[in-house]
Amino acid sequence: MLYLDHAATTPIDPEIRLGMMQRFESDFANPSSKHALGRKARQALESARARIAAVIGAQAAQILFTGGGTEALGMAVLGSAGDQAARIAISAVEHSAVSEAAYWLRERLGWQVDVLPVDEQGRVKLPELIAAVNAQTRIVAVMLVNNEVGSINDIAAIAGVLRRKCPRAKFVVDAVQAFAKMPVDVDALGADMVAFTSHKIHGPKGIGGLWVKRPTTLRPVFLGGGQEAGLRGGTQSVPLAWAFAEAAERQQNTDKTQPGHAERLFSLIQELVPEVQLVGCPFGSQRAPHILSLHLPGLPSGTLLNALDQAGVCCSAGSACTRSAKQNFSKVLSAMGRRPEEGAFLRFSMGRTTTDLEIEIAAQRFAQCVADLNEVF
Amino acid sequence: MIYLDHHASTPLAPEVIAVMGKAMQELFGNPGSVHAPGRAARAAVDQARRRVAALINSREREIVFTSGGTEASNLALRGAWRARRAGRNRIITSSVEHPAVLSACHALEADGAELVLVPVLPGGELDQNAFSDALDETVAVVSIMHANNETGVIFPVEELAKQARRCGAWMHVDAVQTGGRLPLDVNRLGVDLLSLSSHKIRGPKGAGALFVSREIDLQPITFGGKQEAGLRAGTENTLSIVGFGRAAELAREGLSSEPQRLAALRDGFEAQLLESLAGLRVHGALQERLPSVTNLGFDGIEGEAALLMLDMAGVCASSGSACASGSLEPSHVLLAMGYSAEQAHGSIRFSFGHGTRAEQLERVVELLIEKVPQLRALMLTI
Repeated sequence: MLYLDHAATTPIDPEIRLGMMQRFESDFANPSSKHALGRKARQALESARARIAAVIGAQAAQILFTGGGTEALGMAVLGSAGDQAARIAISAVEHSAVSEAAYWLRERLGWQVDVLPVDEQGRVKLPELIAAVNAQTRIVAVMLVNNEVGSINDIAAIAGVLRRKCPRAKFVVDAVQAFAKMPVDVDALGADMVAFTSHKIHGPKGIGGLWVKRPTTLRPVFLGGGQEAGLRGGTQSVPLAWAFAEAAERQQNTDKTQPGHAERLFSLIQELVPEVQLVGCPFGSQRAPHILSLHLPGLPSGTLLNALDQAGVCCSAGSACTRSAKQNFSKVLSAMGRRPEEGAFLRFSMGRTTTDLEIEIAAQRFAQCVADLNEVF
Repeated sequence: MIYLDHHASTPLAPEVIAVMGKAMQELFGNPGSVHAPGRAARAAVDQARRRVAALINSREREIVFTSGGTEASNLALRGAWRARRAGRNRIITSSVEHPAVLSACHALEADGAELVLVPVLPGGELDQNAFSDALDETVAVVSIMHANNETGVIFPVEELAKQARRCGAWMHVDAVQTGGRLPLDVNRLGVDLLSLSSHKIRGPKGAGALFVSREIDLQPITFGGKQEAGLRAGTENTLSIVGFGRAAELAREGLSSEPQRLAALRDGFEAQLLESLAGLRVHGALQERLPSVTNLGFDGIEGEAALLMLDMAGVCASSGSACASGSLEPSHVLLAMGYSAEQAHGSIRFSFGHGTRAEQLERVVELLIEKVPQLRALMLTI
């Protein structure tokens, strides 16, 4: 089986898996317990926090562990919303964790949601951003790397606009697809909060993090025993936190100089199926190297996806989080001006373990599936 | 090392570690993905859901996986508050709940809820008159723990649920300490919402569950993907959920003998100490209690000093809830029972679990008999 859906989730690194197995046995104590085992767990938890902070140039006290990326984003958005209804601006291509939280603020608390349009490559358009935000804007959320098409937003430039136009707004950046995969320096980004997760970088599911520039300004979403600076109640898991830190360092230390597998897969596919088109930014500094979004005219996405699954190639037609709404066309592609009638849109996403051979086989199988389906359609 | 802090967290069962090891190799897909690895992960999550449902005799679809007990109780209370009907602005809970419930209730109070904290009587039992008095047609939700995490005192949630439902209120039960430790049947209890945790029953941290009766229309508190029937957004923590499922299965198998075994150990432990040490109280002793815990009050000693002594001798115990143990505040549970701050400070919780053996408890008894008089003498000299 060829697994090319690493933007949905990744297999756990085998060495991390073994480390977790050991820690499940040895580090079971509650990090809030004061006895020897509890203190050991606390030390391990704080060491993981410091290692994660180092990956993004932050201080350990600014990192909150959460149950994952969705929770981190929800905490950032809902935790920044005061009692007064105001305006929140989100890009048109945000993950549902951000957009659903924003729409909840609108429906339940009367907020105004300003949706920031994107260009045909999926990037926020600065002139439209400048026009959309003002002094009433209290929260702005723009993702660093889009999860479906891999386009990279110029976060620092957006932060510059926000500092001038709405200095009181909290700027939330979804870095789930970028974390440890490309250099992320929280100070250089100019954001107030940055969310990330473990299971996209060969770490386990069930843990994510939120960097908060000034944690004291955030309101908690889950309350409980005062864990995570009182902002996120619940007993922390040392094995998960350790694995997350380990995964972040391993991902960061991966050699990024070799040409991206996504680019190679695209060129191989294009040789075999010339009508295939790249969706989003050209390969280079504006596109995450691990995501290939492509378009094939004439075939429905579902049919092609199914055929690839049968052929042992796992990829996707969009975010795994929108599975229950799979009959709907991707809102990311819609915002980029694409329509379902155009044909198939597929996402292939590569991981640290993806090999050149896998890329070659995937391209061949893709071509074979297209050939088989073209006989039917 | 003698670990007597099973109410804070438990060592994982080897069977649980084994299924998690297998899951880490075989089940890496996103349960929301439609391809084969995604479907395999989905099937494993659903199998775990059946196992957790079996533990409390609920329907599979009534189990919502969360990141743990705290999140489950937050979802129950805040979700119930958001779903409340017009005119129902009161929330009833007890003064001895876990911080997860108490702080969620206080946050709702800040949002406009009228919060009633039902007191407990000196024995630790709920003041049922006060409970009945607080109940009327304005109550949105009642949240009462099944057994107290510090003293183990069991509350009559079945009876309380009847009364709550008669008033049209939803009944939430925090069963984090009892789920898997006592037989539980949500139908018999007649509750609408019930919180469970994995790491108190030899499962991993990072997973818990909320039972949500299909009769009610709970509102979510997290937003994003439509996982967990739209009640809990975020990629499922497959690994911890699979571990939780296996732990629930093991706990269910143990229910026929483990509560009796622990009760015998606990009762023996208390009896030996009471026989040999003066100035010792067993908090909640006259009530029906969860067999996995004893909360002891030693006159004339500082609980923290005793814990340090135990810690140095390789014994792990606690002075109350681990979640609050970062602070030096006296236990809110003991204060609510009418003990003084000084008495509360002189208290230690020993909690027992699968690995607890009679020899370990004998060793701790010897240690306490030897050291408590020394600690008392030390206190007198300060």
